[in-house]
Amino acid sequence: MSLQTTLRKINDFPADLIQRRRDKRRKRLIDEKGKQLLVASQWQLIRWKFARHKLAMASLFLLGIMYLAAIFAEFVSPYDPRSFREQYAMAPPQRIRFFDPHEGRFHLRPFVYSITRQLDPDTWQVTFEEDRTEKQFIRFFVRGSQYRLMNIPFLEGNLRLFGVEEGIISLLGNDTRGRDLFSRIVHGSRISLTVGLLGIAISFFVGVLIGGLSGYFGGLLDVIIQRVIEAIKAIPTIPLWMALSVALPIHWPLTRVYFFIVLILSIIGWTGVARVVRGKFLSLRTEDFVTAAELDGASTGRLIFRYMLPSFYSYVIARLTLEVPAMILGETALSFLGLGLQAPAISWGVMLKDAQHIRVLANAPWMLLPGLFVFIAILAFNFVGDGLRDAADPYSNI
Amino acid sequence: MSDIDNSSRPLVEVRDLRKYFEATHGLLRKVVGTVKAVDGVSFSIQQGETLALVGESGCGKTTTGRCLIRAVDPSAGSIRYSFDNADPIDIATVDKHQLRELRRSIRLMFQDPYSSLNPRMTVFQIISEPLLINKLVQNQSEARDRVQSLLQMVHLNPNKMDRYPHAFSGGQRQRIAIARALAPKPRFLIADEPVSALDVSVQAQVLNLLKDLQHELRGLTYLFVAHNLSVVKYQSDRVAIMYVGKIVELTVTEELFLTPKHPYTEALISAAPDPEPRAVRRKKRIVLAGEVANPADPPSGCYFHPRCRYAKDVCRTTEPPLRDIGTAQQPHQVACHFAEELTLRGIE
Repeated sequence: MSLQTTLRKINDFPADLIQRRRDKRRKRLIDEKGKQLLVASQWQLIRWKFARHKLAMASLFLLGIMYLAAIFAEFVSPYDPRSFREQYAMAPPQRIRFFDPHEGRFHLRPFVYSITRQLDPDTWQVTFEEDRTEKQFIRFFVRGSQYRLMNIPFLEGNLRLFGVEEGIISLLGNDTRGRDLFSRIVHGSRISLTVGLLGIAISFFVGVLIGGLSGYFGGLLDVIIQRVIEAIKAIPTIPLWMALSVALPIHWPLTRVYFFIVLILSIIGWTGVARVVRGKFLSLRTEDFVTAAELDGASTGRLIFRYMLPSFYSYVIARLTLEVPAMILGETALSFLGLGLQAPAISWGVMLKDAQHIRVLANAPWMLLPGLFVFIAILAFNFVGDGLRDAADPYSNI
Repeated sequence: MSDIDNSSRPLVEVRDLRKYFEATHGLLRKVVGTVKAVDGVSFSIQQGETLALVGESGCGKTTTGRCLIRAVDPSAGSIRYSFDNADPIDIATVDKHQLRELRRSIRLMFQDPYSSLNPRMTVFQIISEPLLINKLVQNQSEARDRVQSLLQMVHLNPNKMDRYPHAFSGGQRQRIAIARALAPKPRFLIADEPVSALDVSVQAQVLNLLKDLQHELRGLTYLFVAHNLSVVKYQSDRVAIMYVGKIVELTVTEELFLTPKHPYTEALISAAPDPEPRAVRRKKRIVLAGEVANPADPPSGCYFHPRCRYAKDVCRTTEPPLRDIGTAQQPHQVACHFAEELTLRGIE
């Protein structure tokens, strides 16, 4: 070995060592991950795969925030959704500012300008003007009007997430009677967002039960159930919903109407689930691992609950997530038509009904904003559903 | 192979087994056709013996195997099974309670280890399932001990028992399946094409394991269903060749390979790949013309006649019975009109 190569070797030594150490560490990390994978259960594999779907993760985060806001609606909204303030009727959304051009100063705390109602003496047109001299700083965790959280008697309070000390704050404008649209949208999400979840819960239960009977026992029962499902699917959705909701007595309390609307919405929903479950049962019945369990002496219940259902739970849940939007839209459509929930109730559909008049649309287009929230919620559910569907079968590419 | 017990009565005795599948149509389930998947099959297996059931796809060999464990209910015939030399019971007619007991003594191994193991259960759960269901172990820790020794028996690392099947290769999965089959200490194992789904390189591993286990667990009896004669050659004591739901030849393995008496057997032997390429060049491969007969609409006379190169008029009209043309020590059953006249080529 020449002197030169020896020297070079000595020079390279530390770099080489570092590289080797790094490789070793990386290998150990990969090994650990690999070992986790080997003993990972189905749900862990699904979680890992779902986490790789960025859009679905973001949508799930967004939905999480929306549902949290729905739960704590009284706290999140600055006003009672039913309180009228005639002097602020049809006030437009206010802009949140940090920079005051009038003063030429920047404020760390956001503020809005006070607005005052102006009446044109000739046309009687109502307009709102910003008073640029009067700033209203937005305060967080302020004391507002008294409320009961989710109508639970002992959860009384008056703490609100944000508010202003004087004047009003209307982030999304006010409606024709001066009710705060933001507060109403937050409260409305309670009905609009839970209709879908409750609806698919019913669909899931009924669908798995009837689809399971049809697929597991087969024969004549299967034929009858399938024909019934075809008959139900052949009925046009909206007229059926309309007919059923018209049949609800007008004097019923709000909660009962709500549950019946959910039932009406899931009358169609379960059929799709039942079809899927039946198909899965039919294919799983001939699957070798099910036959093996049968030969092991497993009872029918064990076969169904330990072998067959776990094989497609995830798939059915993914499918159901994709059906939530249809339910949300259904509720919105029914309420918009005035056939679902009625005025004292607050839902996005009920709010959109208020925006039906052309005069309202022309003067207060922000009253269509509940529609935007419907849109966002549905898109988010679709993305989450997509991600779940891709992750539902973690064995597809392992 | 040395453990065969010829003195007492056979462990399994199948008489005239039939399984007809009916094709139905429409709401009223009108029968539009009958597929005779298994059509009058008879054979017996001695304790500790390995009988191979060989035939093309769709010949009824898998259905025969499944009838023996009542995974499929036979249409007719009897399957007499002797529990520990007690009076034999007829598997074809046993009640539900006896069937449970029976299925601990008779076990089925599946062809595809990718579909026969539940991907949602760990190896421990899979193997312990027959033990727990049949209450053969008292508690979890006893189950773990049993699974551990079972895994060692099939040469798998017991430390891996909490892994899921997706962490194992095909050969390893098949060994897990063997461990599950052997868990309740059966006496009779029906192996349904146990290596057909595996790479050729691991086939020998699994075959040798099955062979070793037969020696280790004295008296373990195999029914080995296969479509590949070369797999069967070193594995079985006797071979039954099936064609369209019937056994056409049944004899001792060596005799079958050296002096086949049925033209179909001759064709199967010539089709088996030979490890010596030079030998392959020397012999001519017999390529069968046409397709396997349709079991829903079989040909007249001998089912094999449309593809047989020795067929004569009588083959077209009369069905040949399965008859014994061997000696008392070495029976050789064959269903061919010309079994005595023909000199057929086996392996040299």
